[in-house]
Amino acid sequence: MSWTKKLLRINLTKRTAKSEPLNMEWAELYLGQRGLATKYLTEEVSPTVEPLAPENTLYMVTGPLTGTMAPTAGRYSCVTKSPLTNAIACSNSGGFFGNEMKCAGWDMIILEGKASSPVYISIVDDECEILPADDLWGKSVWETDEILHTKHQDPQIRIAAIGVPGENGNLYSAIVNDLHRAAGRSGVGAVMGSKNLKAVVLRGTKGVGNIDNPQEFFNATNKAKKILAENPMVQGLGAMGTIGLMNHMNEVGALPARNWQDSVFENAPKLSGEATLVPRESDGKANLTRPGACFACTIACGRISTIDPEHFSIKNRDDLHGFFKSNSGGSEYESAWAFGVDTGVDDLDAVTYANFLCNEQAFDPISAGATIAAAMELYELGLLTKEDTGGIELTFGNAEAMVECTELIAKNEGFGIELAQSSLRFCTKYGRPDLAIVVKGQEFPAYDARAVKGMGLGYATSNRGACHVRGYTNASETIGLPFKTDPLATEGKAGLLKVFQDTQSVFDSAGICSFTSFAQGPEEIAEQIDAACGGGWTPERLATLGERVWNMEREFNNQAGFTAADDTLPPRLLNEPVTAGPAKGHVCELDQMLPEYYEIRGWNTDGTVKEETKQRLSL
Amino acid sequence: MTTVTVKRFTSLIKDPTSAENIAGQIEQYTIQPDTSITDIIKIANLPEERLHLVILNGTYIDKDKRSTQLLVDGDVVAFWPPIFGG
Repeated sequence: MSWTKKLLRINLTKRTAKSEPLNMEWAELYLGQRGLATKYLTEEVSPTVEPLAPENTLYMVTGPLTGTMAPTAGRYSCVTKSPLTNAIACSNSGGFFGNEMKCAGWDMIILEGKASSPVYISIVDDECEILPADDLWGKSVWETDEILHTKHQDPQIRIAAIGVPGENGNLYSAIVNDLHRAAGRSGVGAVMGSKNLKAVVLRGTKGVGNIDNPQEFFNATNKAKKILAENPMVQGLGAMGTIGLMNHMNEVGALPARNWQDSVFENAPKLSGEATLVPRESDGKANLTRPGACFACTIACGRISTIDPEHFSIKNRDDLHGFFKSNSGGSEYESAWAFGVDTGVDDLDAVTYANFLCNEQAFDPISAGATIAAAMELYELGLLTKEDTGGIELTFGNAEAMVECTELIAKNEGFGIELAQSSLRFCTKYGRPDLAIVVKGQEFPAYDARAVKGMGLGYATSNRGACHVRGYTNASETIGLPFKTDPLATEGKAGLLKVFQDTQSVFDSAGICSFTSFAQGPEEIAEQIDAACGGGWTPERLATLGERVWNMEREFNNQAGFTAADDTLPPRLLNEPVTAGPAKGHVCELDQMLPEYYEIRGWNTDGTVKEETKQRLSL
Repeated sequence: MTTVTVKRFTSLIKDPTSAENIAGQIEQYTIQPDTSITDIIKIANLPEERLHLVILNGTYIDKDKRSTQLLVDGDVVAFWPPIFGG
């Protein structure tokens, strides 16, 4: 079995660390990572807990395939109750941190309580130390990484850390590992900061063993790698990254612009994957330096980019970290959309700079960009003034203003402190909560639900608030995978979404990247898990497991106080038709999809899970 | 005279380092009446085996309808290899 069968429980209040056996009964029902840690959370933490109180717990967790030779098996997740949404939070990250946790001999690290002063945790195989971090508090992720590498004198340690936003309760602060990879959404960084925990340092020398049937596992993973290698999507993602979607989503009229007032952006090509390949005049280099890959990845969708040295964001700036003038991770489709299209900014270097700030100081580019976009609309409506912004001319399309706001968020200073409270709280303060494009308080990603209607149902019902990686029906609706559906139709979307949501739950519980889902299906995943974990893992069992995880999260949210009334969309998406492009005249008819979705899910009309559904899923 | 616009995206672009191609490489063709999408694929010398998405004026065209979908003056046909994201 490829679980280590051990977890490390750390109580920061008591400054204790102890090894515990993994609950294998739960592992058989919830697999690992997202599913298993959520099971622990639901058993150990009250759904009504205050997210930033010591009573909330943060789970850093791997899956049974993490650290193995399965393709893309470098994933880990941070599971907790979100301060942004007050719902379940599960943020997934790549890089090498997850693999290192597994190599140190741990499936999961449980972080309880709150330290009385700033600390960081060092784990080297079985040894765990809770060490003072007073000198790290106030430092960026990048500075923290350098200091800890110097201090520990081991180039092979892997570090996950928070930045200044996470220390100060920014509701969309993230946890960044390996300098450029993030557990990005739902404010997991603020939970870590609330515990006075600056960083977790990992070093594992044990390797990942315990494969149940090594020969079968070798065969199954080789087969999966071959499938991925032969899949043309892999070549597409490696060549262009996720930002290759920019022109496509614009062409199909589903690229929400200027805080979702429009769904086509006239300058989208300037922020496109194509644009990242064009050499610039100043130094003859393109924005894209090279692709980047996580542990065991055979796709390499990551973008390692450079900013134009003549760009205003970095020119004559001696105060910036060196990565700003060399390279860092991004931009992704989502970050380029949020800092660019959603704010009306068409400056690729400004967007890349904002993305680097998110890496440096660990905060979510989607929520940050979307909050700035909402503030821009308030400003243009006259509800927000220069007095409020500290003198910033916060109009759509103003790249300097977008950059300045992002810097203030990163430093948690001035107007940035207000923006750090997220778009819903910000827009509510200025009298227009309807302008916050959120579900359950979490900002939308870059697919207009009026033009891709399954995504609208997905946003409304996502257990962690608006999200694209909980049920990516866009794959079917505009990309044509695994089959093409009409993005403007509502019929059939409930069933389609359920399959996507349940399947995603399996990928997120296994320790592998969701980007393999376009090539390998339940059969291939089941073969790998079955060989790694011991017999009996069939596609059908995994499908049920995915459904179980989804309903478990739903139950947690219901017990936290969420109801069917929270499964909705902002008024703009329901009532304001798209004004141009292929979806012109369309709104998202959520009411045509939601009842069918509840029925397919086995839920009551009030959004609660039926008893028979719970029994069927062993909940 | 019937003129249509062909747009090549991502790896279908012949010169990806040209700033002129960031909105897709745009080519215009004067075609005969009854020219289908399958025909324009041949006329534009597009690699059919790599064409994943064909979008006519913003609307997706099924693979099995490429040969029957005729083009009219002013049509814009966008071609994409496999892409993914999120």
